Amino acid sequence: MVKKKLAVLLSAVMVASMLAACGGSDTQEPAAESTNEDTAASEESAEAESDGASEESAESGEASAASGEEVTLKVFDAHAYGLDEYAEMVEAFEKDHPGVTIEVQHAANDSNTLLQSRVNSGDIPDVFDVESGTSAKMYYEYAYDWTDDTDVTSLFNEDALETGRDDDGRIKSLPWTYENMGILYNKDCFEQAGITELPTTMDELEEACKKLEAAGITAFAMPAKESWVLGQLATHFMMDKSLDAEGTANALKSGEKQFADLPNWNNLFRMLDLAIEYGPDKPLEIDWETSENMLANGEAAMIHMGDWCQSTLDSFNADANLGFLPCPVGSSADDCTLLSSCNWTYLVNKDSENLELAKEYLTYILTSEMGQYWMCEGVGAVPGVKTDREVSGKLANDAKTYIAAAKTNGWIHTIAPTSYSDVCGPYLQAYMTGDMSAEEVTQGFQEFWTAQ
Amino acid sequence: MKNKKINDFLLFALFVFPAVAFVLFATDIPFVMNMYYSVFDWNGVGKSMKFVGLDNFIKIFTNDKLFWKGVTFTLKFAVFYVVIVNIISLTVAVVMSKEKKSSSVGRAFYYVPYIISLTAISLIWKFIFGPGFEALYNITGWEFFNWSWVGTPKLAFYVVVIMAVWQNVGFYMVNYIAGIIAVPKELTEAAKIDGANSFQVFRKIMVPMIMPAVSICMLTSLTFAFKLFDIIMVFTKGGPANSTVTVAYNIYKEAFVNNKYGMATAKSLVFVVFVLIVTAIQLKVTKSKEVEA
Repeated sequence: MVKKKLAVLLSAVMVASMLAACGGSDTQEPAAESTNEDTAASEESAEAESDGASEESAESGEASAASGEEVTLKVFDAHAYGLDEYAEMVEAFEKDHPGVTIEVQHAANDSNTLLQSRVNSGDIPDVFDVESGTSAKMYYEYAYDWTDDTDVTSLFNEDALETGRDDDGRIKSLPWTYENMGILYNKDCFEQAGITELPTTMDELEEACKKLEAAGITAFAMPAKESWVLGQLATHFMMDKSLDAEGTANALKSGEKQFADLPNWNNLFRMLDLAIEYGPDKPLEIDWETSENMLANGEAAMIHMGDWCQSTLDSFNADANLGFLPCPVGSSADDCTLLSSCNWTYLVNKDSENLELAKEYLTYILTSEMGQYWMCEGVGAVPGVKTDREVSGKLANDAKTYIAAAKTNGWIHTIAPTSYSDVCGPYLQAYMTGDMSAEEVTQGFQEFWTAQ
Repeated sequence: MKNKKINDFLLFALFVFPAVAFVLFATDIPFVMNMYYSVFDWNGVGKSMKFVGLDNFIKIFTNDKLFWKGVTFTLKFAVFYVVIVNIISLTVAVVMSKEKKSSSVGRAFYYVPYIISLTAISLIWKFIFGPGFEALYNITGWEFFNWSWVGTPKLAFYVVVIMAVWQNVGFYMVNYIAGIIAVPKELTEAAKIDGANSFQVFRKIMVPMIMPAVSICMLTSLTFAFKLFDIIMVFTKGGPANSTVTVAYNIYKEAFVNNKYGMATAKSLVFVVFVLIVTAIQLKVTKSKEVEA
């Protein structure tokens, strides 16, 4: 009797623990759900279309469903920006291609892990995107070579195309949008504190921090909890303007340039000191969300981030008066730049069963009117394709003026050795908590960059 | 007679086979594949793998500070977690095993954290350590509430312990309650008649009788502690400054962020061996203390 009771109770516990395990995996659901929604929506439209089969669709659908058979194109999209516009875009594509279903998986979190497991299990998407540079190169052996498709490649800006070249100079992936990063500042806060000239040197930056503090505004809300932000911040202080990103990164990897000898490197620590002194009381607890919230609501005047967070900032306060401040790194105004790059890049699986369709789809989302609508208005960023379209993002527009004035350089952290931010970011956190000295951090960076 | 044997076997197979198949495909086969990958240098994506023999293992033991930092953290965590969670859940179980109405409410109260999603838990604790502590500091003025709990490497350890204990107390409590209910009433009653006070009853009858539950709880809490990953993943991300990196998190990062798949599998093998040894010792010790009613 007693044993029976025990058995019942124990099995109840086990069932409960299984349920609990299900609860834990909740985070993955949104990605899966959006896939279902997309396919469901697209199935509907595909059906509706094949019923009414218009002549127009018969023309443009030749590449895909020649004999009216059903084709499913698997697409992996590593971000979740402008989802509504994306869905409209997919719908329009399916309308023109009866019988074609676009199955999109949007992965906002952990896209790398998801994509890697799909590739490992043989379920390689026909079209997918990864971060350009070091991460993208791992996937290039699966990628279709676009070099000879000049009718497509000629549509893109030359510098944007550069981000998709492999070591032999072949174009293995196509660029998405430009993303810019630097210091974001709240114009209203600067005005309140009486700052009329934007700081361009470290001294002026400290001056500005003092003024902000006097006006009762937190100067910096550096998201120091995020090692990737600190990793990105540090690249400003590595940049050699005469070499640009790639030259600088190569010189650092080869050991030709030593971190201790970089002219602006020590100012990184001065920047972190400022972020601590004129920042919130618990700097290491500030995550990206908190920092963006504080900036948008005028609780903090500056953060380090890029224009990819436009939609998040808008959700916190759509009327926030924000702008880019090229990151001061030394004692000369010429050195301070925004870093700008097409950091997401799209690949077509060269072994895809529907290669032609996959190529057509990718060209469509990156270059067509609908695609530009998605990028310029949905995402609000400047596309890598040549266009005259206005973009909706305020920060992206602000960045345009700096691009026009040649105050930008490329991104270093994406072409750095693998896992740069994950290894070096914590060193900078340790500096901020006082667990590592500036010399030890510099040493750590040096070892990491030349080790591989 | 013979028929019955065959029937028994069929019945046995019917129940056991699905489970065996699951375990085989989800655990054992991947484990063997794991051994295979561990002698290669592979980025987890590419088509080509480079055979490197035992290089990965040599690197782990000679040149991987972060892994050993993770091992230290995990061991320290295991000690704190196993002790604290078992003491608290046993205490709670003793109180909650009384057959009163209030105790079923109480059980539910302790069990809820165990079944809510970890994402929600991390939000709850983000609030407690953020605005929650701030408000308490403003009321009480105790410096304790003003510490940067999540942002200081030393304190972050305790944050992880507190969260893990809070989340799992309910699970062990249920196990202990099951054990306590199974203790025959006549034993405790007889002891009481003989004049034993309630502490003596607990010490001399309860504890030996619930040893099976204790060994189960010890084992599960120990393996939980060694495998600790989810709280780190959603709450601390191993930070600040790598202070809360556990072995499991380090292995995950190695495989999916650093893209050193071969290295990650080698690390997991090293860790499996280690966990096997520790749990074997632990089982031996607790099993020897079990008694029959």
